[in-house]
Amino acid sequence: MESSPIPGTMTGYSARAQLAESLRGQLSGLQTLAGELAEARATLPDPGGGRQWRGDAHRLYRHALEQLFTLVQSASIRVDDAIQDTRHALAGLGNDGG
Amino acid sequence: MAGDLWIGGGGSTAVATSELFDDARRLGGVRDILSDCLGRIGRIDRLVAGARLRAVDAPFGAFAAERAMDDAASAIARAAPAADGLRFALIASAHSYGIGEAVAERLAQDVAGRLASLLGMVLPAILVEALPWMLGIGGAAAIGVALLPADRRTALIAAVPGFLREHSAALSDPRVVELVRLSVMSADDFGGGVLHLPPGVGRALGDEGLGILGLATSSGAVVALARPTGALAETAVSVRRFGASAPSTPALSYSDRAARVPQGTAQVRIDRYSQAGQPNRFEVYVGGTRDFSLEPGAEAWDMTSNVTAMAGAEAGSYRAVSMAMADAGITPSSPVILTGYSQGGLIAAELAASGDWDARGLYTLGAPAGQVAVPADIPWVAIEHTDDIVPAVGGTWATADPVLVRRELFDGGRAPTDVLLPAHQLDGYRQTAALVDRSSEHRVVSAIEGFDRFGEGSTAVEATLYYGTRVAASGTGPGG
Repeated sequence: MESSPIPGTMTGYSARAQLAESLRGQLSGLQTLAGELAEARATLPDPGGGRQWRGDAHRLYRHALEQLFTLVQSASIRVDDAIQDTRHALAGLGNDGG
Repeated sequence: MAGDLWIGGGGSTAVATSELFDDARRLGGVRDILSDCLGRIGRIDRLVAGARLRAVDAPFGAFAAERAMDDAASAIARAAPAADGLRFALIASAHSYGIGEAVAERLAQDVAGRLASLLGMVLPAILVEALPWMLGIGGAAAIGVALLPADRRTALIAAVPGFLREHSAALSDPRVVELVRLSVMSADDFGGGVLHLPPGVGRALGDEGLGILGLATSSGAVVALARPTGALAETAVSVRRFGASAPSTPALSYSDRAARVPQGTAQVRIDRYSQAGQPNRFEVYVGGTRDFSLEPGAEAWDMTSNVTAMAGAEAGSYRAVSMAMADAGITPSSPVILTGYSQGGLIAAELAASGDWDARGLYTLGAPAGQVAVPADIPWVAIEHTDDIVPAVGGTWATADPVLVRRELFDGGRAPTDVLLPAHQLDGYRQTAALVDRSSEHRVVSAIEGFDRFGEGSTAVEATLYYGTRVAASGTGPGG
């Protein structure tokens, strides 16, 4: 489907080309972000550690660490999804001639 | 299985394992990374606005990417403060633990002091009552041994050290070690009880109060009592170089310094750092006790030096190190770092505390130096094993606040019995020093960075060994 031009600014073709350029910037940024999140995951303490302290405090700490790991992991997964979706979008724009 | 490092002191109330401090450091790192991520994802999101996607009828993937980024941003926005909260909780728990431990130590010392005072008051009466029984039992045992055939008697006496070694596990029990520490600190209270000083007066003058009476007073009393028998009597000392000086390298790391503590005949090693256009700098390494007999012989690193040093007087080994330092060219204005193991650590601490030298750092391993008032502006790292009785003999860390690294060497395992004090061996302390090198805890890292900067810019390092002997009772000693 042919898109409509943005009135007074550019043609539909140039708008989609500019979007493609922005999506390439987005893809590059997301790839950097994925690397940083991987670094954050690797930096997280091992929830299995803490051999020297036991009891409720240690259980709570381990639970909180696991929750933190889950949050970082889910952020990581969603960034990977965003990378895939951006690639698909770029491919779609390419097929349209953008 | 050996235990983790417990790190405390150094001007902070925080006490925790090295692992916990490492976790806190990691969580701080995670928080910083996630904060950066949050900023980055916001910037990425602004590159492509939703309205623009709709305006150009963008492919479905572009909209899906927007939703995925919103979800990721939401997760990151929750994770960053969670990491910071956990880090804060760990640091707070370390401070709470440190404060609790300090209060518990203070209470334990107070209770031990009261009990010792009470015991001092009633013990003479108990002894008078029990003396006939004790004489009877002791006399019977002595007669029994005397009636044994000579060869069996000799064998029995020869077996005593082995028996003590085989049953020495209790000496490596951390609970016994703490009991010894409290007992040592309560010796002055016991003396006050014997003299029937009112408990309030004894405590006011002792460690729990003004600190006028304490471990030094008790050790001084031991020296005074032993002197008429010839035991623990100080003598003059002499010192000589042991072999030729040898080229070396600047010391780097805790384990490197621990490895330089002399173990053989020589008791002192002095490394001279030559620097272009600068006065020489020195690192002094002092070894541990060589002779455990109470009668002073040729060896200056003996029990006489140990007890004299703990009494706060100038021990033979203290004077020998001072003489070696002077011989090496160390003046009161020469920058110097002191490292010592066991008695050597006690002597190193006393040298640093004396104000006679420009001490830039102090590093002790298994030293009974808890009562040495080293000025707070001298960086001091003290390593001690909680199953080593020797540092406990030096009492509590009441008058100094070093960065104190503790480790139970035989945690979860049985201490070997081939030596009397297995947790006090220098090899064990060298292993612990290697663990300290791997710790990322900021106090131990900051201290070693300062120590290691000491030798920066050196054009040459020359190591010299020294051997100190007691003059009055000594021969010539080994040749240099």
